Amino acid sequence: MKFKIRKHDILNVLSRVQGITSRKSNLAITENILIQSRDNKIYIAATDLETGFEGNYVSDIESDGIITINSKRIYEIVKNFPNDEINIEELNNKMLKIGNESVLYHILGLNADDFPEIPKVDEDVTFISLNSNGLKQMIEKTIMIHASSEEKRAHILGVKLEYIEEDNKPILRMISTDGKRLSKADCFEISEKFNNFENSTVLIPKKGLQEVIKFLESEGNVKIGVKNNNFIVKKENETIIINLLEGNFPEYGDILSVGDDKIVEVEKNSFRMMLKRMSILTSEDYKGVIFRFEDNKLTIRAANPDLGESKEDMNIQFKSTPIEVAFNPQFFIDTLNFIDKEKVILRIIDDEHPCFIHGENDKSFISVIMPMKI
Amino acid sequence: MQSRSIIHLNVADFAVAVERQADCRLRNCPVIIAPEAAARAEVYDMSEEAYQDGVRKGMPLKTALRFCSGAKVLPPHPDRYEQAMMQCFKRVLPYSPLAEMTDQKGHIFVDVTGTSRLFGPPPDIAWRIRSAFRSEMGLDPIWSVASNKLVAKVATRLVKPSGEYIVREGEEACFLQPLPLYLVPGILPEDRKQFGEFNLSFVGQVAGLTMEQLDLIFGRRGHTLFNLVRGIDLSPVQSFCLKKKGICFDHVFGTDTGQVSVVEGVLYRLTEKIGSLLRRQRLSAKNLGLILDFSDGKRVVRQAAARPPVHDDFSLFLVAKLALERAWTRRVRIRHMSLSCNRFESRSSQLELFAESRAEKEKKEQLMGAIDRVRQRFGSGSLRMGRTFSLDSA
Repeated sequence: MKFKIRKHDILNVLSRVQGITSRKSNLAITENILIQSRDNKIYIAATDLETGFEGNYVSDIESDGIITINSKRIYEIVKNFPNDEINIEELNNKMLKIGNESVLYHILGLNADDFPEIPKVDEDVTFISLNSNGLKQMIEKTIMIHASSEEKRAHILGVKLEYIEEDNKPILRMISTDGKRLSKADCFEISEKFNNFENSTVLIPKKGLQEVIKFLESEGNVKIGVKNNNFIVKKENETIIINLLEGNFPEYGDILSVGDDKIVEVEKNSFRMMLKRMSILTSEDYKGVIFRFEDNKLTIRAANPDLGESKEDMNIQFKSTPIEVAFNPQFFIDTLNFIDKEKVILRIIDDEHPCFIHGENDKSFISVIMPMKI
Repeated sequence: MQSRSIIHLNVADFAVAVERQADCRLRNCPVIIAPEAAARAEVYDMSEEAYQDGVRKGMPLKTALRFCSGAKVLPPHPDRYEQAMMQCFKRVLPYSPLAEMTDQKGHIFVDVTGTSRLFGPPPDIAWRIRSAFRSEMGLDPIWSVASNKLVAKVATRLVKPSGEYIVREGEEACFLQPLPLYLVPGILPEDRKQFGEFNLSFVGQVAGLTMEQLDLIFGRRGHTLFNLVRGIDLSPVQSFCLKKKGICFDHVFGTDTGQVSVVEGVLYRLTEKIGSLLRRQRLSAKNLGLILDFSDGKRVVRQAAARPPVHDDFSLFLVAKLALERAWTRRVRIRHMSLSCNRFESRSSQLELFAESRAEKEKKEQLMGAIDRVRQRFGSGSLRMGRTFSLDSA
């Protein structure tokens, strides 16, 4: 194997696969990437046994070949390489020569036969095309609800992907939860019908989606599909395949159907700053702050016996009977960070039911937050 | 900087002293503390008489008995020693809150800096603590007063098995100079071996070396050794109040056991006690620590984290069992078990979003509440888990 490649062509992809190759798996070889030169292109693959990546890049190939090499090491070498053009050549005994006349590395690779196989994307997968930025935003809005490393429940480890039709309009929906809050993000810009997972729950691991974000550009389209047990994101020359989680997602329809709620409109930035100020006095033991909606005024109070107390008011339009309810302010701050609109709608019922948050005239992203006991 | 006054109290052969308090027939005869039943038993502690005959800690019991054939051999009772240490500690606290127990072997440091106007000079305080130990507990500690923990400890080692020593401020280096290196805590056997290569066996000889010379031989450790041989020790006496108080329950097995059902039954009972206390205080445990004392006197301490924090017996037991799996790796019978919790958080008041998990959580809360109420009214034995029935036959 011998080829020449431009530094900036390969550096970007090497940087993006670091998240996959740095994850611990049962196989040491998953810290490596697979490099193969064929048909005037180089093929790069990485996997952590749950998320797989494949990419083809144009290069000046002198001879074909295949090798696996430590991902972090080759990334560091390429990142700090002084010239734009890099020669890569496989020598005997899995040794890779990287460099040019002035800088030269010889690094040891592993046998490519030991590299885990990445599931092949069959021809019969039904893909739908959607805006790359739209998909990126949907993922960001749902994976903001993290799963702790000790978590075992599939519906918390993963994000549910759904295809639904409302008023004959196709909607791609992602839903995520941690048992205390729920985030629902919709994408309406779908041209084709997409029904190849109608009867099964598609739960995509949040970890895998974190890697997908890195490969999504702010412009252009990507294709997504579900086949067998895999979620596939396909770009022109790159593919990411994620193993789906096995398990069920709890029924969330009833949660989203709001009953007798009071609608409160707030200015996003002032509300976020108010929450940030009030969360200063929260701690691991005292996470909650008390919201009081009363007489055109929202008062937020934080009381922490270990640290002290704080209070702040905000003028709002509210004329109903007073409502006092405690929430974790961090959940609101997380949501507000992903709302694009200047005005935010809070739909509040009482101290036992969740609060709904969405942007003004925009229900494509709704966050549902459960209160705390006062 | 104000000069410090540190008292070091050292009850020589602590385990033997405690056993002699429990059984006066052991006085004036050589005593060896070692698990007699264990096949390869090692000496846990010995009396001065046995020491004079050549018995040392860690020596195989068979060898020890060859050196001192008339010695009485007693099994170790770590719980008894722990209790005695706490009693000693209680007698020290009135003089200073800065008191530190470094182990369960009779060593206590007390920082009495600045207390002279209240209690008199440090040697007077040491005398008073010693008389309290003697009259109320029957223990006779060696004591020393020095400006730091290192020198105070060397001083008590020097006068062992009984006596007292005062090292005045500024005299630390002179005091240490003629002493052999093995008396200085912190100088490890491998360090002494290395010094031996250079024919250095006294503190004064090593103190003659410069920092650069020590760095050359010991690398980074050179700096530590440089300070040790000059009697420089800035480590503070750890305040008792600063150490987090936790919940702790323990159990001494009537007969040492290796039976899984019995050990797990006892573990469940200890878990129930901790759980009940946590629920009463509306707390959840973030971790559980387990101490196992084996028949041969060895102690293993392990802990397991509870993520998310828990307060019901069933979840607490799973955490405790994990700690037991980590601690119980030896094929030796267990004598004493102690379960503790020192990291808590206020019980989460966050409501669950999904009705199913909310109902499950409420069901568990109601069950635990009912169990607690029954036990409160009719006693802890009125309602028992099947798991603990194995203890009746054991």
